[in-house]
Amino acid sequence: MHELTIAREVMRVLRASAAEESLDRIESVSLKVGVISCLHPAALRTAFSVLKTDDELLCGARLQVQCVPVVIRCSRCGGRWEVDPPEFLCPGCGSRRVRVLKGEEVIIHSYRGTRTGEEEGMLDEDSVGTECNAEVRH
Amino acid sequence: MKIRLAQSAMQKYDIKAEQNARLLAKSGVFAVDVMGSPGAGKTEILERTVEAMVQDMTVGVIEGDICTERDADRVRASGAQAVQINTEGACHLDAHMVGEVLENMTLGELDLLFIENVGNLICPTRFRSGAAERAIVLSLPEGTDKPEKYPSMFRSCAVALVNKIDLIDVLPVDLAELTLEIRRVNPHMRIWPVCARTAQGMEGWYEWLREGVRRSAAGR
Repeated sequence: MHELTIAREVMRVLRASAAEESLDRIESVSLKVGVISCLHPAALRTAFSVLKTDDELLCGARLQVQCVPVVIRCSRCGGRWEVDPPEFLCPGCGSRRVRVLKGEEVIIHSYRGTRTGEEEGMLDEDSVGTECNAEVRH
Repeated sequence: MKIRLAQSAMQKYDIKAEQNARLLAKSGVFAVDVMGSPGAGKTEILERTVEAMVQDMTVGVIEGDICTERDADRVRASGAQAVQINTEGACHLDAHMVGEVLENMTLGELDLLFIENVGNLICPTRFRSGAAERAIVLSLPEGTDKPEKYPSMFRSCAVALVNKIDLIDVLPVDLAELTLEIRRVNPHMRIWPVCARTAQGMEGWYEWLREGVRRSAAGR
């Protein structure tokens, strides 16, 4: 359950940023989570929803988790491909000597917040990405 | 208002891991993370390894467990300087926990340091300690499917010790198939089939460690 650790860290970063921006409510948070980051989106959401309960800044925040697929670069042919783990195989030349470029990251992409007296509307179109409910590979 | 952060949630941990790595490099210590499932034989591997290495160097071990000093006591009895971290429920060690221990260790006296993580093939994967290398211990009774089930862990390690090889005749596990499964997810992996109980097959691992110790001492 290291998702609890990560959720706590996400909240710490958000608190620091919101203080800098003088925001006092956060409405939504967008995370990008690689499918081989060893983080489970559902567990992350649960951890976030438990931790935010008594938090004035974050209690109303909705967590969006977008999955980032695995992208590899082949060390033999130089090809760049999206692959489906656990098959770390270059679809171009069949080599297993590949470097993972994407898919391991956990990025706090953006968030929306308000100041007292200000109300925010709907989410931006670009923040409404594909919600990730898929199982994540470890 | 929308704020774009594009910041890694691991940043706090990755920065500390880099600091630990610099401290270890400056002190000329070769540090190796030891990972694996509970019961794979990580501590027994370290007991044999410490016994063999303390003949010509000073070895330290940081033991990570949810509770008890049991593992630290075991490697101490083998001749290592050992510090136990009790994570009190946490499923992995992180660079901050390790960094706190490093600050209180006399690193100048050490040649080789093992950081044995909590037994777990998932949570420790993304939390780097700052060690130069990572080793995974998996045991024959775990079967051949673990590399494919936990590819990130296997990809994060440079070497694998396949432990409990003395059970080869009584278990329906094909060592060649297991080797193939490991190489499917990590073609660069160095693999040594070993028996930690009797120290059978451990010489290649010892030599790999000695080479790392020489490299770290030279780079000091």
